[in-house]
Amino acid sequence: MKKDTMRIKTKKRMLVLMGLFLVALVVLAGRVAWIQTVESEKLQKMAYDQQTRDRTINSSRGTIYSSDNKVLAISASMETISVTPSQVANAAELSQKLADLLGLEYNEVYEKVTSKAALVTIAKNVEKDVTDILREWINETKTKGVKIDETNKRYYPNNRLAAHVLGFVGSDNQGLYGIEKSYEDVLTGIPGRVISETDGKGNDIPFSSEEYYAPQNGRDLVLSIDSSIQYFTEKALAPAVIDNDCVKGGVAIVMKPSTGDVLAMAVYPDYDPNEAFGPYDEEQAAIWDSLDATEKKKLRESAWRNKAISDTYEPGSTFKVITTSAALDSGTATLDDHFTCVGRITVGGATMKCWRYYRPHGVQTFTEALGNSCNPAFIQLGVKMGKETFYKYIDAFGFTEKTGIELPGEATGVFHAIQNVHDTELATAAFGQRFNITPISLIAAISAVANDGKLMVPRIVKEVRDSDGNTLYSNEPKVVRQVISKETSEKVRGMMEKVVSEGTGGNAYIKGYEVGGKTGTAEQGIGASTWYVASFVGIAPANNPEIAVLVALFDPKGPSHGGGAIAAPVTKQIIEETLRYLQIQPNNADEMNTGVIVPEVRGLTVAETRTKLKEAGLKYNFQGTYSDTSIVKDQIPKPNIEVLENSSIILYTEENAEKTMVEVPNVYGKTISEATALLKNVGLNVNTDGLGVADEQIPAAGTAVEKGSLVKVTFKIKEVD
Amino acid sequence: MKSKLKPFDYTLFTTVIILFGIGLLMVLSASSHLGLLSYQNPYHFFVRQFLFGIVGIGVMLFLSRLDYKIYKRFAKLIFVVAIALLCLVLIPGVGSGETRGAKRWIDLGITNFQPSEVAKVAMIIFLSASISENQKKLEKFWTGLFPYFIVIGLVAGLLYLEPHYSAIGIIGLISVILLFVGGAKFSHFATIGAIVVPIGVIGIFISKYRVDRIVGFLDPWSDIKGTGWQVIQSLYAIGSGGIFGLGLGQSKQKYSYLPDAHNDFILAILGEELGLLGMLLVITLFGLLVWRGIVIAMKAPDLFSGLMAIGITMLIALQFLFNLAIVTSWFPVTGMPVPFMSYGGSSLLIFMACIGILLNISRNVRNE
Repeated sequence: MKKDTMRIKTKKRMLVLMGLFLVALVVLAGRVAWIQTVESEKLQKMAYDQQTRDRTINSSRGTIYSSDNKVLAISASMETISVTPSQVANAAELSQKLADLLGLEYNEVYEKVTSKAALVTIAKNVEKDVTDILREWINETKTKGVKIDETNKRYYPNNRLAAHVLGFVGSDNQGLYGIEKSYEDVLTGIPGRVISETDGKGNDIPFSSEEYYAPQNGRDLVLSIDSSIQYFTEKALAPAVIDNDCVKGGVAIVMKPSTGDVLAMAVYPDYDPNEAFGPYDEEQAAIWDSLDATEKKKLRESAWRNKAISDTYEPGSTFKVITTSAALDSGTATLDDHFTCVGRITVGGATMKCWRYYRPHGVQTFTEALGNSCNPAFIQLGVKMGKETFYKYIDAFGFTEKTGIELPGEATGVFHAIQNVHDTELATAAFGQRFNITPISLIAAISAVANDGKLMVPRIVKEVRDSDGNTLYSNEPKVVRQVISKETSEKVRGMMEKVVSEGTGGNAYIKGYEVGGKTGTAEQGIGASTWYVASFVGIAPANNPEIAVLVALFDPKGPSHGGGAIAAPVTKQIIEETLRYLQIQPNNADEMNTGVIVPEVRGLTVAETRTKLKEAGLKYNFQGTYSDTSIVKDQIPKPNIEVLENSSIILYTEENAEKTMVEVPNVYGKTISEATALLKNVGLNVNTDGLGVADEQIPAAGTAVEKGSLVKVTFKIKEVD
Repeated sequence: MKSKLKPFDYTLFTTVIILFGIGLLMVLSASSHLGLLSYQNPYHFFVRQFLFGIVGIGVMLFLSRLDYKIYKRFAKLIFVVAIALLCLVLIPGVGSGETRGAKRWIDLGITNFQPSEVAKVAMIIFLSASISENQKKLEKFWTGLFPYFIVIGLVAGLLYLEPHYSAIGIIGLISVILLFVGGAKFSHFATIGAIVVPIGVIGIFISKYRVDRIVGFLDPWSDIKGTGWQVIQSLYAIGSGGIFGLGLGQSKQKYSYLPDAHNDFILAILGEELGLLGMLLVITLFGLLVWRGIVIAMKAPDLFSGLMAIGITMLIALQFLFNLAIVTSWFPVTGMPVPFMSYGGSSLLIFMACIGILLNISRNVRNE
């Protein structure tokens, strides 16, 4: 102990240690200060994100109704299954259960269940009966870490009906196309949130605060679309596109001229918004999995595209209605003017042929020229009018701007700039070629012609309502401008009526109604890649139009590509069924088919029978061998039964003749004209009741009955929800 | 025999009590959630820490009255016992592992006890005694300095078998400090360093676990959910605290985010709840403690007590500095409790005992 003393060197070294310690202490204090000041905000935010769980409470998306109050799109309550991996005890067992129950790949589920994420979504939009099974299993096995939250799935109860108008939503219920997109803000509402504090294992911290923001439900919409008219329209369009092999599809629009309401907008090929991401038909379904992403994308974009508003085309002769209106309204021509067609005409050095150059129209009145769709006449009109006037009306009819329809993706018409328009350009434009417009802009302009010259904004949404049905906002019809005078409008309507009753539009003629219309067979593009658009615009009744209809068939490869041949019948079918549905009184009731009581002809001679049935407005069909003096022994239908005018009565002149038997075809779901044609084809008579599509038939399909028998078919407006 | 006891260093004593008090509060806050989860009792850890603290203060006061010279007398015995304990923990069935199969603990029933903690103090006592006897020889390499490294190597070898690398580091550093203060030559240290450092580096890189730790340390953000988890949670905690802290008991990170919140990462929770001000308070208190310790060492009555005082002071200083560096992501995560503050009975008792020794030396300082 004695020699044990401290030297100066020892103390110095202790001081060195003190110094080193202080340096280290100050440096580390600086480090702490840096973290708690400069980096504090960033770290605090990261910590907060980790410590809180932000769960969204979906707001219910608004319902979309048709104008006849049918549900077109509705949000159904579904459930989302998610897992907090850190709480899962037996990942393999849970993954197996989830995979089995939800039809998922075990490996994918297992990967999610064992991931290091705080919360992983396993499946969205699961039906409640499935989650109930899961809930039961969780309770039985005391499984931890599975969360089942209610979410909303968009559901389109009518499947393909009005698909292009409605659009559809994505996986997070966000509107991607159509009304769903353009009215996204109105439909979505405001989702609610729950922000809760959780511990590192994902459990809520006891007694911690929870912030709750209640969701605000979306608004409901009432569309101008009438589900029945939409249904007629789609039902008329689809077979026309298929039968005429229209490679680029087809569109049909029905508009109410007085309001601009779009009553129906059909695009074919269509898709089911419930399965918006394809495949779209069975053919595609078979090869779908073998397609790569680019091919699928192409198919999707083509299916989703609303050709009625997003595509432009050369309208051709349907546009002559516009040229006619401009010419009459500007005073360039009057109804008394005459036009001479020699089959061809030379303007600005270019010679253009009339479509009927092989048999020129000769001298025609203005009305006849429209009915004949005579190009030389309209070329003369155009040149006489001058490009300034012509373009003034093109602008006024709204072709150079968007119509303002509340659907996403509307295109605008493309015209030659006026300074580039010379006589040749003016001449072709006068008969509807060498410029492009959208179908919606054409039907809006035709509606203006029908609506005493007032151009309306096409209306697709009529009303916004809250979920209790109270109207929050009414979208009143909007007049864009007076394009032509009321007098001009009346004149043009009269001319259009003649197109149907006497001219090229005869295929749209409907007995009893005055239908106005105009055909169009337009060349698209020039040279080898030329293809056609067969189209027809119709208004009915022509004197006081309730509806204007446009049917355009793109690139028909069938036997005919003429608008009058293939588009007019579609228009006719749509107009006929719509007018009946709307209970529009016929202009000429006498022309309408009425019921006829079948007279007694048994015991009369064949000659007498002929006369009697003819008088009654019935047709006759004698079976077997007979002469004028043969006595009618039997008749089908029997006397005193009411049948439609022009029904065929089957007559037998031999005693106990073997009756010709036919099998009653199934007409269920057919329209009146379809059902009638089908039954008449096999020699049966029809008695119809109601409107819409066939709902019931007596006798039932498949029954063997005597030829000529009466089949009673009850029609019903198709309930679409 | 203890009739004329001089007063001890009250500043040192008070500082330790305050640190223990702050530590106790933080243990209460940091462990309540874990206590609830594991023992259905939020006060489980707090009560135990409190009781150990009372016992520790008792031991401290008792040792402050026990003449320090007794340690010199029993220095070799204490060292042999410590070595024996280090061997004992390696016997299968005796040592219990806490993490990753390491065997560092002996379960005494009432608490777990870490022989390595004892070994640190035993090493200080042994080296102080030995160096103070052989001060002259220390300047020679083979006969003076080198044998000490054999001894250090022996202890390090036993700790390596546990394994307990942070203890190796602390004991190594303390030993070097004592040899340095004792008078060993710089050039000799350089020679030893040239041999030991490469061995240490190789020792680290032959184990994937250790490499992971180093990699995790270099860039904790590269594996937030894995190797970087603990230190990032620690940064979240300290960063969230800002200047004024979230308030006592308001830590979020203690809710199963930050592992070892109540022991090795108690400073992170302190930073979160009490902010920069709380951290600076604790840093200042440790500065004060170390300053008093070094003053006592410099005024110590003899070389033995001086070395013991500097050894104990540096042990506390190093543990605090390393812990601070770990929670601020400047050093790889190793099991290193904060003296007086981290939860843990054996650590608390031993540090309190060390302060008891230091206080006794302070009674004997020469006032010139």
